[in-house]
Formats: sequence, structure tokens, C-alpha cells
Amino acid sequence: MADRGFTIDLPISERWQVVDVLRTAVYQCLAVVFDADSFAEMVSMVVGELVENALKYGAWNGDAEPKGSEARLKIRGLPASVEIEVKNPLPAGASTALLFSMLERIKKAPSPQEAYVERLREVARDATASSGLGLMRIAYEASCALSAQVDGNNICVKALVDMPADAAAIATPSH
Amino acid sequence: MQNLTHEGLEIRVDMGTPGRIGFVWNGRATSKEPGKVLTPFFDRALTLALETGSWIEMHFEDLEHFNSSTIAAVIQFINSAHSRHVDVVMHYDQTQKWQQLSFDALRRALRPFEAISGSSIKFIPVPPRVR
Repeated sequence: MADRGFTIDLPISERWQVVDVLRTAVYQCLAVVFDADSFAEMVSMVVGELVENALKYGAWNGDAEPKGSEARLKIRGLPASVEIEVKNPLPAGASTALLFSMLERIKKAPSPQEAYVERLREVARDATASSGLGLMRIAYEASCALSAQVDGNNICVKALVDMPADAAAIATPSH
Repeated sequence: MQNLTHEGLEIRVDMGTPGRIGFVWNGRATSKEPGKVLTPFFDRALTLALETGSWIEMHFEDLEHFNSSTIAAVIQFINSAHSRHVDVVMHYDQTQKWQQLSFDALRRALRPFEAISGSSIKFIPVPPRVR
């Protein structure tokens, strides 16, 4: 089996434009590693949604406590999956209840698709209810396992995306 | 109506066929708050559709990516069109996995709305040969 091991570890800066640059860069990197464009596209979509959430709900403009805390994106290629981790400082007093309630809904739903479809219906009825749609989308479209952990003033959201059979790594030539 | 260009997204307006207002999506829809731009744009489209007795046709086949905030704006538009009795036809590329997954979920999400009195909502997967 070809070695699929790789690590991408980057700081995330506050600008919104960073999301699309990161998403595109991750797609291009993974398209080199895997012989399946759709898998690279799926992982890059997960990266985009998680980084968007970090930018929307994280502490920015020097508000992070302790000062100097930074947001980071880490992507690791594992033998049969890819792990995406986005860690960012939270604003003082921020509630993470909505995030955990969305993760709970995904777990309790008959399938991630059911959870996402139900959230879409809520969003269709109520324009203010769009929070959490991205998490449900990635659980469904990328069939990934999602988890989150709060550590002091930082939150870390992880997504584990299993490789489909057609995402075999491009063979590494032997030397 | 004029074409819409916003960040990496372009929506071209096609009014070449009487009774039909077409919107062709191109590029990447990655805005932080797409609803601020898309909602007024599609409100104008719905008003025009009602005035001219037209249906609305959306083409997503050439769209490279949309974020979940854009999906929220799209489903709100479809719901609004349905309740205002404007027919909507959505074309997407089923050979692109992300489009197939996204539009399958949208189609399923809108099923209960179709049972309520309103316009028709159609999803048409476009095979590559006719593109």
C-alpha cells in the first residue's frame, strides 16, 4: 500500500478571503495525493466550512485570551482516513451550546442526511436559523465523524473523513 | 435585470425566452453573508416573474462551489418563490458528486413544502451530453 501519510499545519488569519484560498489549496494538495478528485473536493469542502465557522464565531481583532492565542488548521493523512482539525480561541463568555447541540442532533438522527435535511427545512422557514447548517452539511456530504472539545478559551473541532474505495493514493514510486 | 457579480460569484441573467427568467451561476459562492446580496437580487427576480407571468430557471451546472450560507439563501429563495406561486426549475450537474449530494438534499428538504399550496419546484439533473 502506498504511504498516504501527510500533515498540513497552518495558522489561520482573520480575513474572510483566507477561506477560499485555504479550501482551494487543500483541494490541490489532496488531488496530488489521491487519485479521486471528488475525495479531494469533499475534504476541501469540510475545511472551508470549519474555517468559516472559526472566522464567524472565534475571537479575532486581538480579542483572544490569553493574548497571542492563534487559530490553526491541521490536516493529517491517516491510513484509511483524513483528519481535519480547526482550533481557535473563543470570545470571552461565548457559548458553545449551539455547536454541541448540533453535534448531538447529528448523532441522534437516523442518518446524517436526515439531520441535514431537517436543518434545511428549518432554514427555509426561518432566515435567522442558518447556524449549524455547515456542520450538518459536512456530516452528510463527507460522511465524516465530527467531534469538538473546549479547552480553556479554545475550541477544537475535528472531522474524520473516511477514504472511499476509489480514493486510493497515487502509487508512490519505489526507489 | 442586471447580472450579479459578488466576490467570486457571477449570476448571469438570461431573459431571452419569453415566460422564462434564467439565472446561470458561475464561479464560487463563498461570501460570508450571501443573503445580504442574494435576497434582494432574488426578491427583484420574483417581483419581475410575477409581473411578467414567468417561471424562474436556475442553472448551477458550472458553479464550482457554494458554502452552506449560500445554500441557506438558495433554499429561502425557493421557499419564497413557492409561497408567491412562481414556478422554479433547478438544473444541476449530477456527475459532480458535490452537486449531486447538495441538490439531492435540497430536493428532499423541499418535499413537504410542495404538499402545501404553491408553485411547482423541479430539480433536473443535467446529463453531461446536453451541456
